[in-house]
Amino acid sequence: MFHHLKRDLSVFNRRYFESLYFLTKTAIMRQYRESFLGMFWSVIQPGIQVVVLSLVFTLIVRFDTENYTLLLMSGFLPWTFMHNSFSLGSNSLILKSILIKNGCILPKTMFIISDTFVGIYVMLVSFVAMYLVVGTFFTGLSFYFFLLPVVLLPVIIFTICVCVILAYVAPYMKDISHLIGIVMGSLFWSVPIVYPASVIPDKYLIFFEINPFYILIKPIQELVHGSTFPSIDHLVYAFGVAFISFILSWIVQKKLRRNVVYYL
Amino acid sequence: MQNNKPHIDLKDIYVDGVDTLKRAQGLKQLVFGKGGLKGYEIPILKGASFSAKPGDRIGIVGRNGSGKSSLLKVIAGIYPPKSGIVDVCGSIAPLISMGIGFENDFTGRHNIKVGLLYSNRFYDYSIDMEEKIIEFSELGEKIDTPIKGYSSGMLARLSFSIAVFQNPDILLLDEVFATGDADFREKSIKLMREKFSSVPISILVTHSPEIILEMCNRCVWMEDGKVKMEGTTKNVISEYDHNSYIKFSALEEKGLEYVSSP
Repeated sequence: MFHHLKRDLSVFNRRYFESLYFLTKTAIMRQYRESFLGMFWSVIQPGIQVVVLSLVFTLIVRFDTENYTLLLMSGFLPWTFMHNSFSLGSNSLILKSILIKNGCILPKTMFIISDTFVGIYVMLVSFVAMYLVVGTFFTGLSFYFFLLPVVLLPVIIFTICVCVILAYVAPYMKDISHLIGIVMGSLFWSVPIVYPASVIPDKYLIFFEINPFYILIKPIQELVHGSTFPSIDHLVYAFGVAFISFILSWIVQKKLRRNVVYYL
Repeated sequence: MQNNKPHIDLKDIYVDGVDTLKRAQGLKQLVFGKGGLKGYEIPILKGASFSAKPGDRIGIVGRNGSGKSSLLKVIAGIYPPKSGIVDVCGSIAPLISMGIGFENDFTGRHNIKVGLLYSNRFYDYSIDMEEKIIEFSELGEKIDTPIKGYSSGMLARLSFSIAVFQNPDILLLDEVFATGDADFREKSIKLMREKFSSVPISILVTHSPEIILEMCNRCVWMEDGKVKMEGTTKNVISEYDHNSYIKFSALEEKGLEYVSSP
């Protein structure tokens, strides 16, 4: 079986990445060409949400935690990225059905990955923008921030892989985009994003600790909010979740990729 | 065949499409009983066999819905067959629906790269090729304006120009001469004829028997998802469209070229 995996992975050669880069660049330019503020709309929206939630949870409902805004931001931005990516990514192949059925011999998975990359780009811009604002005016900037790409990597891998799964399943079951909204909306509260982990009662703690979304987000919170290098254990678990999602996505695309064209 | 020369070998290909209207589209239909999860199959190809070797210039004719484009798609790898053997060796340039996927807000120049990307030939891009494409398309300065301002004829010219400068082992053309004004058609046909002599395998689907008589050495007549007849161009076309064949033969005897009109 690993021989198959190795052979499939060999498709990611230089030509593949050159094509992927151009596809992503075009997708980003396409989305932001028309609007006046362009990319900023995608940054302002989570920004406003962070501001409003910060006001509520520092002035009204108070948690005993320093730099609440940093804590909120460190979980909220990856979550927004994942939610948006799942919603858009699940339609990735369906929206391109005419293209795929009529002579486009580009690998289908490339479309899915490129759509996710647009979300990655926006998330990175949001992080930098918000960190500069919060850091300059409120808490001071920490150099650990430069390690952000490392702790974001598991989230990114996980999101790409789940989007691949969703995009291949969606043509068979077109309801899936609605399910995503409901599931993500509910799961949001199962991860300590808006509230710090310290308020979780001990008897329930285990359920939170095994939540894959929390496993992925925890190192980011440790880095951005805690201003310290995340604990190696947590980082390893996060990469573990990413790896499992990678294997699952490889299995799904292997089974479904062949005949999906007939369901588009 | 184990050799590495470009070749196509399809045996007994069955392709079924899925009637996505009848199939349950989601949970609602599944629960309320308007169709099952299994697809409702629509047969597209019913045991078609096809082969090609270097030097073949094959024309495919047949009525609408007979499976011509689907055969090309099987060769290109777009339609995996339900059963049958597909043995295709060589790089493929499928020119099946031209102009799809073009980005409306971007310039023609940008879309040249997009067109190459979708045939998986983005790495073939060069400034040189771009210049040749722009020159052939005769779009001039318009190339740097967004393509949403292009007429359908201009779009067709751009699509065709992008497609024609690729150098694959296997060239698949589906109704590429149907659009564009008369001058451009003539230019396209001339260039295609040259191209056919340099590309190892060319396959052309068209409704116009005259083009096939001019450009192809073999012909395949498809009907109802199967190959009805195949052989040399003259033999097949004389069965398929006898009038065109007579006209063509007459002109050929006089040494005249038959410049096809729609």
